[in-house]
Amino acid sequence: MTERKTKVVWSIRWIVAVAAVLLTAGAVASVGTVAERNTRRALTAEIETRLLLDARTLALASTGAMLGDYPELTLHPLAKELLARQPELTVIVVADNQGVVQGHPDVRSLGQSYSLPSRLLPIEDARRLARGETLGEDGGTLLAAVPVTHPDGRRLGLAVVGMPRSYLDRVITDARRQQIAVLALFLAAAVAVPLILVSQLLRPIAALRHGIERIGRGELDRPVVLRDRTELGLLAAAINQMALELKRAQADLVERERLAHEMELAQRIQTSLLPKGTTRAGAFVIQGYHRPAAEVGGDYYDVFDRPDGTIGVVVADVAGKGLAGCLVMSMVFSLLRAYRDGIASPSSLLAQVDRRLAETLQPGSFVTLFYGVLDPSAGRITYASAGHNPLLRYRARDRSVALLATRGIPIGAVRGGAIATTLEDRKLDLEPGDVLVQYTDGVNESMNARGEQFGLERLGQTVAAAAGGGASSVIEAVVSAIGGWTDNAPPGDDETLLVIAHETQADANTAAGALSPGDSEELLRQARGQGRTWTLPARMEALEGIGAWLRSCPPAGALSERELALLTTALYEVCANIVEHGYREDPSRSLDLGWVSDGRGETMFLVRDDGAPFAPPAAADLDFGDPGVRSKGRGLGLQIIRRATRQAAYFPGTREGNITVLRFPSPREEAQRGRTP
Amino acid sequence: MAEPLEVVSGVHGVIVRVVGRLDAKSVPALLAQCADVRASGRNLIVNLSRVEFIASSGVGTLLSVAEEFRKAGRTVRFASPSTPVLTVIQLLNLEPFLPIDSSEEEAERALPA
Repeated sequence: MTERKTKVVWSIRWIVAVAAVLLTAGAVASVGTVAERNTRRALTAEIETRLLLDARTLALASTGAMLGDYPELTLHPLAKELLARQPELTVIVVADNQGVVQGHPDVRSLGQSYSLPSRLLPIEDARRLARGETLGEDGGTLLAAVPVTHPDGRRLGLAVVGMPRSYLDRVITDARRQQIAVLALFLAAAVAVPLILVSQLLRPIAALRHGIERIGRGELDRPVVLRDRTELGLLAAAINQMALELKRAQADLVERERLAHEMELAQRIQTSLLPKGTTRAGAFVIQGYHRPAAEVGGDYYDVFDRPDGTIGVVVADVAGKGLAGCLVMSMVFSLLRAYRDGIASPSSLLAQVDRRLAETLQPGSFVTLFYGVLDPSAGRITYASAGHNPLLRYRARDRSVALLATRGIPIGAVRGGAIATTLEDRKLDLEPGDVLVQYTDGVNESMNARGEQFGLERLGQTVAAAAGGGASSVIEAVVSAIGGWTDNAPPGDDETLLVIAHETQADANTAAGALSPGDSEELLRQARGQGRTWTLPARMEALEGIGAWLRSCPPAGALSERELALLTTALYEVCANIVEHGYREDPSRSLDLGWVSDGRGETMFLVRDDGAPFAPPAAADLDFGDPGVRSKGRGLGLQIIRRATRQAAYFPGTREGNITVLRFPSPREEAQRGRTP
Repeated sequence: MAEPLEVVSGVHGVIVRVVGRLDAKSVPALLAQCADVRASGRNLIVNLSRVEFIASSGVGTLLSVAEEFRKAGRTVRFASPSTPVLTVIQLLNLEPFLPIDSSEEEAERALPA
């Protein structure tokens, strides 16, 4: 179960709306504050001016009446009319010079006395006032008093008009209420307009999101449909373009994977056809090497036993790479396997393969093929070559290298069986130390950085230099030489080698023979590299130190006392033989002991010397039942060596000298250990 | 270094004790000693308990001594061989040809009176 976390999504439209509201409110509030201050000042000035004008009008209208005998008869209706017109006025009074009220809206106030309050708070702006006029405030009432004047300038009385201050406040409050209403209207607009606008603008985002989700699911065929003139339209176009390119990349990837799969298949087929390991037959060691190019080539080699005790060897190069080349290769493989036992003559077999392969081979494709039959007991190989590279022969007797070419044309090159007239069986006798190398173009045509081919001459020199070490040495040397030549670049073509070596290994223990002279050299180098060697002079007394040296070797720690005794004796016997017969007890000479471990519990002990090599006697079990054998006591040393070790092999004349390899412990001792734990 | 051979006279024969290594270097002395005993017509016990190392020449010597005593109609017994000796004898399956006893006393008892 996957834990799903709800992700908080911030809506853009609400962010914009809130921002607009805040901005609008701020603007309106600051503008409103300034506006209210100005409004209050203007309204106050206007109302005060109006009050003053009312008083002046009243004074002017009262002049005539005040000159008559009964001014109250005119002034009362005048005041009443003024009140009716401006009900906010709370004071309308016309008084004569004696302070007697002559004009008032209320009849009952006529004849009473009136005087302006003495402590009238004057209003600041006096510039608007004429002489004798008063504008002031008394107990919450604004009062304006203007003298009633005769045309000749005499003062006849006083006209007073007043209104409550609260009227002014009411007017201002009304004005502010209107402002708030406008503000609220703006705020509402500030919320609504962005909401609607953003909603409209963002509507395509849903379409884009669905489109991207479709792409995410791999539906690359449904584009995002969006008619939009804003940047979102561009975005939709970009997404569609991306989907298109994704689809193209996906198709490329599928194609590449298909090719890679095909290559892998071809490589697997090729590898499965190649023989595993090293073939040994009598004194012959046959070993192959194959390194596929990145793009599989059509190389192939095979080694097989024939029913008459001979060994068949094949090296082939199919023109054509990849799966097609590989299929031709497996056809060749199958045809050879089908005919190899029935047809003894290599040239006849190749002609037969040509006949059968021509039925299916595409015109223009062909196969070069070397086929040989090795008779290990006779030391002779019979071979035929269908247009393959010349066979390289190293002869130990005179250390010469020769390239042996034939007239054979490739299989499938010419239709109609013409090949049979060009093929021929060749016979070659192989002497001890001789080496045959068959190879494909990938080897001799491998190029260095300057575009120069490795070439057959260099190949011959390399083989000649390594031939003394046996088949594995030759392969190792050629592979390393090509690696050096190409600076270890990946091969452009398959590299295939097949080496047939007549190895002169004298093996004291015929049952085991898995080592080559080259192996023994390598083991010695290993032991030296790890500091696991000990050099001693060629004196019998010096051999008494073997036991102590063995006890200092870590693998000896795992051995029982019995095993250690046997190992000590076996090593002593080998060394005694060398000191006595190889060096004739010359103390100025020396020999080396060493050990290597294969990491799987098997230890190999090595003895190296450069004394005269000797032929080990026939390795037969001694018959101790024969009293003659018992009294002579001959060959006991070799018996001890044979029985105490898993393998004892003697390699005379390697590049390092004579090397004896002892594998330990022996199966016999392991069985013994199993019985008595 | 200890003397490689100790020779003592037992009840029914001569006891020769081999000390140290039994290889090409020490073999001639043992052979000579055994030849002396055979020539004297006595039986022989070879004590191998203190042999640290035996080479093929040592094994050959034991075999030939046994063979010569057999031919001469005398008896030789090999007493309490050390692990190195016993191991090599067993490796070569030589027990049928080398009469072995677990101690000098047992060897004495095995000798004809």
